Amino acid sequence: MATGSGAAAAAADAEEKESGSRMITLTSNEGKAFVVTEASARQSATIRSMVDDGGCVDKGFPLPNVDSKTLARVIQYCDEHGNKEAHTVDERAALAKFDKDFIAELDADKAFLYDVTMAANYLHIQGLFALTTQCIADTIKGKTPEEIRTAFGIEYDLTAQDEEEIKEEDTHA
Amino acid sequence: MAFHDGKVYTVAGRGDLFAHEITTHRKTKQPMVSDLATQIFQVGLFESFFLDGTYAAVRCKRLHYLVVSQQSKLWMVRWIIPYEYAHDMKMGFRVFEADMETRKWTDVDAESLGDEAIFVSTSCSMAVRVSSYGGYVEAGKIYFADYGAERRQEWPADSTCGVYDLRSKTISPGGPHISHRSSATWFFPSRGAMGLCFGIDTRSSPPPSPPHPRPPPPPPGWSDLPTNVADAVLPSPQHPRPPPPPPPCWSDLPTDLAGMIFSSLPSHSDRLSFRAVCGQWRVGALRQHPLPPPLPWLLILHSPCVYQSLPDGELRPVPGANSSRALPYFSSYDDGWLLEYQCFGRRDRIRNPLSRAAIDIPRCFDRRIRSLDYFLGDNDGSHSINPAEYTLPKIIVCSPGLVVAAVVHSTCIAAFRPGIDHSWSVISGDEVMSTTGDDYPWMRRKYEDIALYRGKLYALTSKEELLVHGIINDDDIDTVSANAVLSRAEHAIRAVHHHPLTLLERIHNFSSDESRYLVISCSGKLLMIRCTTEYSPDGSSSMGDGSSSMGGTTIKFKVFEADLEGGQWLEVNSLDGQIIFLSKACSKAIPSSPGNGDPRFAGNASSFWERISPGGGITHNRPVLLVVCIRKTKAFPCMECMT
Repeated sequence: MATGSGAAAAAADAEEKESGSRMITLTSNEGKAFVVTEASARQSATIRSMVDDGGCVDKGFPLPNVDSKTLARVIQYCDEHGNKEAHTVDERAALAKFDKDFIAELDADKAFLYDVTMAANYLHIQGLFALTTQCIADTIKGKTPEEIRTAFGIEYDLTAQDEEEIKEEDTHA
Repeated sequence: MAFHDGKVYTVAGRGDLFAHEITTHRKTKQPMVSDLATQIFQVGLFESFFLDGTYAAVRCKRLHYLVVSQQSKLWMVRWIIPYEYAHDMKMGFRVFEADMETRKWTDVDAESLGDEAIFVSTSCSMAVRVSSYGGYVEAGKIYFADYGAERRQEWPADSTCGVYDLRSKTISPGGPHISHRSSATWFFPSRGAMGLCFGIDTRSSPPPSPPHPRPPPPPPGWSDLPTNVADAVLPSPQHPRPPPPPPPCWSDLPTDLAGMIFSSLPSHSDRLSFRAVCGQWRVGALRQHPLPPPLPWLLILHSPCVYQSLPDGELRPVPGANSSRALPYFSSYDDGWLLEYQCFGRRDRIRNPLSRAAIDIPRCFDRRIRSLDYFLGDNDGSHSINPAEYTLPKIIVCSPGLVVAAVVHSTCIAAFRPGIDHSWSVISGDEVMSTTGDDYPWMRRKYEDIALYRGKLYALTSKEELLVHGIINDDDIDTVSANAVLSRAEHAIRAVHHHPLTLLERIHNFSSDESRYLVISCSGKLLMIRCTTEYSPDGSSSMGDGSSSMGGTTIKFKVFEADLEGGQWLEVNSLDGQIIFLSKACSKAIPSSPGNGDPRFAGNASSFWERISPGGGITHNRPVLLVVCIRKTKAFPCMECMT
């Protein structure tokens, strides 16, 4: 876009960029396209820097590491944080409530929480990443290793050598 | 060998420097290193003979490393390892700079090293700017990794790493966070990140955490993003999952993420649990660096071995203690030492329940001290340390060879050498102190706190004088000497002259209490913290700036930084986000980390931890956690009286 020269076109482009009204297409690893506002997409620092570097906004961004279900959920977060204002106390409270409900839902489905965490890390969505890692840490707090394994559905895979070291750590600290 | 200024340099023999030009192959036009070396300088046999002392050359092994400094100078690091029979020679390092004009090596001292530290090992050496590593690497030091077969007997058998301080010319085994059982070399995975790569690791577990912090994780590597995005394919994640993706699982959690989550757990016990979940998590946790220190435990004294973990408030038994036979602990000192003391028992000792180390302490002083003046008025004093929790309010283990304690209500420091001395040697600070203003026994000047700071022992008196004792080692090769003794006290900061107290002030003195603490800040400064407790006779309370009030008692804190050169205390108005834990027996400053999850320590509030008994006097068994924000009026006591 705006390849035609002329100050007017450039100005229009700048204005469009400013307003965040451009639409950006994100494609999941299953090939499903999601159209989001630029403001929403800019929640991801990875996409943000590519857009700023003048990348092909038109062609869209394939995300080979994110499946459709996860991407839909991530976009839900980005829409909320990217498209809405958070200037007043009420608006901030609404956003905090959204975060709380959002993470509570993920907390109930640990496998999905994993996908969302990985996507947030991959796309560098800092707010979402902080939210999910805090949820993980909260789940771990006060639990025994066995309880943690149960909570996250992890199979026991420690070697005899690991066990010995852990035993040593436990008695020493 | 080093690449510098477009040439490959090599060093050989006695320190001769050769240069190889990089040329282009005549036919293939591929770059190649010319096999014709130019000798830049030659160190003569005679010269080398005297370079490190007479006959030194034949009595030691010398290893040379070439390092290109961050200031783009070519340095040669010479490692001098004396042969077994050269008992009088010390192992050491020297750094030389190549002077291409005069064709000579010139000596480089610690100052010229600037803010650089040098890592040397056979396969990889590097000079780094210490500012990039947030305090984990210190300027003017040489970190070596492969101290091998020539190791002397006193060197720990399981360590091939060490640090040489070019400034003090001292050497110490194992740098920060380095400990292992195999030979090692430095490995620099990329610019800005460092790690230790182990040649022959005897254990299958992952290598221990790299000794230096990786760049802060949360927004990793933005600079790594490709600038050319024409194809618009996002970079693959830093830790790709294995190709066949059967539903990904928490046990596949990338180690860097695992490490981040691990470091956000402030409780020591949660960290232990995390490490025991599964292999992948364990690797992530063990590799995590920097790791914020876990929040301290609140040890319940006079009862059998329980502590309260601060993040969750749960009571847990102290690890390593056999609960049925366990002795109660009476004091907790720096570095995890606890006082195990029995009034009429056979022996007293300090014990570290985590490392299980224990040191027996002598039961008497080598002369009478008047430690109980406070209770008994003037008397001749006693040899006995009984009751140890009062006579030895703070014990510092300076080194395995020297234990030091301050003696309460006196101006003496007592020290002993474990396994050698059978009594505490008492060193009085009286002779360097003026005696004006000592009107009453209870106003007599006394030591309030001691701290080990930059290799010297500092003592703070109730008049806010700072005295310093040097630690003298007989054997100056090794800082950890078995024969360390304390030197006499010298003034570091003199007392501000006080006018004689007015009657009103004397009356006021009865209704208030001041105590002082020495704390070493996270940025390595020596701080004095003055805590004033005022008892209001009518039970009313007032809340002033930076004060906290509970039940008619007002508590105020002021913080000062020691200006050792100017010999004065400078008041500090901000603690830069540090959390300071205070108690008579041990104090500590820890950086406040945003993720430590405890709202009491959140934000930029500076917190103080103190055993304060609302009734005043010395009551050790009723701890109160008090959180005070130094600049805000908001202050609140919490977690009252656990016992």
